[in-house]
Amino acid sequence: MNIVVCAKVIPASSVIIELDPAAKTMVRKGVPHELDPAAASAVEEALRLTEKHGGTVTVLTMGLADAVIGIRSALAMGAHSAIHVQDDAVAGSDTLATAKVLAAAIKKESCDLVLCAAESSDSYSGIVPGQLAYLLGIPALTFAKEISIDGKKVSIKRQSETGYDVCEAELPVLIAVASGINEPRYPQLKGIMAAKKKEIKKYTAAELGLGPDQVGAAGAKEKVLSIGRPPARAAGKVVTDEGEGGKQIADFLAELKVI
Amino acid sequence: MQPAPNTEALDEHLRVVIQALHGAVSRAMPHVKDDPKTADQAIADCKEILDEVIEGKVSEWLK
Repeated sequence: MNIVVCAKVIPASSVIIELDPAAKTMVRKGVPHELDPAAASAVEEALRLTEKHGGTVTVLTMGLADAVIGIRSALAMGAHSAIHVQDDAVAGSDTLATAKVLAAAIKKESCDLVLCAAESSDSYSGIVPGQLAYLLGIPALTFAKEISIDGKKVSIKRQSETGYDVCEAELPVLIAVASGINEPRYPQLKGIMAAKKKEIKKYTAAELGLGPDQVGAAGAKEKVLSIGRPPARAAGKVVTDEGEGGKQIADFLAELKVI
Repeated sequence: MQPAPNTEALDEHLRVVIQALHGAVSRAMPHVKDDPKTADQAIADCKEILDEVIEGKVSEWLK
């Protein structure tokens, strides 16, 4: 089974995100990057599936040269190869343009299963998986908290507010994994060294058959109207237990209508 | 000052190494009490990586 994992590489968690008020985007250039932890879960799930059923894991990402660090991390975890769509023309792509790029790259591969995070940890749009499945003409199973495969049949437990739904489809299929589906393995020394010898295919948008009107800011159909920082978190309430602590907490929760 | 020719590759290697150490520690911390085996394994993996860094055979890292 050949699995392609769409893995976003995002500014490192240690970075204080700067916003570009003119472009209405976060500043990605010139800051350290890392494999999105949500994507790491998708890579982990792919590795577990190939360990059980055989096959290969290819990591696919679209991004600047800085994205290589995240690709190397995924390869060090155990992914077999990678595809990097690296092209200034794709900068500023909206979700649909991103999905078009990813779909075009996936169509170049022999692929039974596409895995991705339900949403990235930087922009949280959660739209790309559905768009990507549509463009590939395959079913999308989303918010998977558990995946099982038996022959061609794929079954997931789809996380819901009250528990989970069981959803089934036949390969080829796209699965978007929910956060917390697993604990991703960390790269080990052997993996880090082996990753250097693994193949990273590079494509530009043009090589994928996509023109400048289809990708990047020029091809974007979505328009961000405004961008800003969330309000600073208010100071918490400290409850000192002098025999009435439990009651005070219960009263506080009741005030919030939590209980 | 001109950067050394291997600066970029070295920088990339060390960032992957540090992210791996961070990943190992993040994996181990929640399990220190409930699953000491996982924590011990992560500590051993960190030691292996750090030993390699301390040994300092830069040319080996960049092969």
